[in-house]
Amino acid sequence: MGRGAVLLEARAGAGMSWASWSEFVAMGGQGAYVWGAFVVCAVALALEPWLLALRRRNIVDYLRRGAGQG
Amino acid sequence: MPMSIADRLRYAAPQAFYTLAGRLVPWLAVSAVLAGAAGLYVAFFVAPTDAQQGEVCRIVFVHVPAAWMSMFIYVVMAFWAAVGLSLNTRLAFMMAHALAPTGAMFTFLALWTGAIWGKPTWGAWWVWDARLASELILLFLYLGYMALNAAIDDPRRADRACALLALAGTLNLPLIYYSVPNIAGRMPLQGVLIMGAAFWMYSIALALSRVRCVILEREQESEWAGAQFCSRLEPGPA
Repeated sequence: MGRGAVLLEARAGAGMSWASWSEFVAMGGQGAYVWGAFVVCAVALALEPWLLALRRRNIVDYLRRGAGQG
Repeated sequence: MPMSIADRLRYAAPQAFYTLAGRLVPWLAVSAVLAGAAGLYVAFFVAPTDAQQGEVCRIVFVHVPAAWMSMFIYVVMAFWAAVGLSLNTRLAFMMAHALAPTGAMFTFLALWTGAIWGKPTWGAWWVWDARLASELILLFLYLGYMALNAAIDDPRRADRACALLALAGTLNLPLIYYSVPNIAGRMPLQGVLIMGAAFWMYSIALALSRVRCVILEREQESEWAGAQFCSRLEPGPA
């Protein structure tokens, strides 16, 4: 049993819904819906800053070359 | 002669704002991550299972804040568009441009999480009612705004065209607002507000980071922009 599962079980005593990792992942049989929503949100929220960093690198590289001043 | 306040807004703002925004972004990003972690903790370890819906009710913690952001960001974008059109300030148009992609992303997330919630709860991914249709129109407004901005080469013309589109699109907002049932009493408001705060911080951080990019792109021929990154262009003792 991993450390995470121990933590989860420790918390389960305090009125939490999950007794184990597998229960947590299964989400009462609705895991596909729950994780389908949360994971896509996480991916989108990570992708946007990443794309923006690429955009910034583009313009910063251009300016670093001194290209803006001809 | 000293510059008037209006002149300052018109000419000096982008450069000064570039620096100010750069100082704010790290704080906002850290706040967003902390609030997001707290929101997730509440969503998965504090909120109880819903008696009727089951675990799928936890989607409320991302769906409702995403739907809020999709509308708030549009209001702020339209506000900057109006400021840009009426005062002719470049920075206002740039702010509007910087907000559109983040707004589009939250609108997509609101639709996506809504569909995933709707299927197990009401038996359908999608229905053509006023609420969903107006949220879909909102997504098209954001995408249309971005496409219009990309399609017009002259930035001054693109600014004005986009601003007009953004203002026309505000007609869609009451449609969404009044078609969404008031569920404030039926959801775990505190947790939703924590996640809402995280999304707010995230949005402001992203919009400010993006407006810095837009400023550099627009001002790439200016001396100050070059001097930010190119040592041989550093301004000498003037």
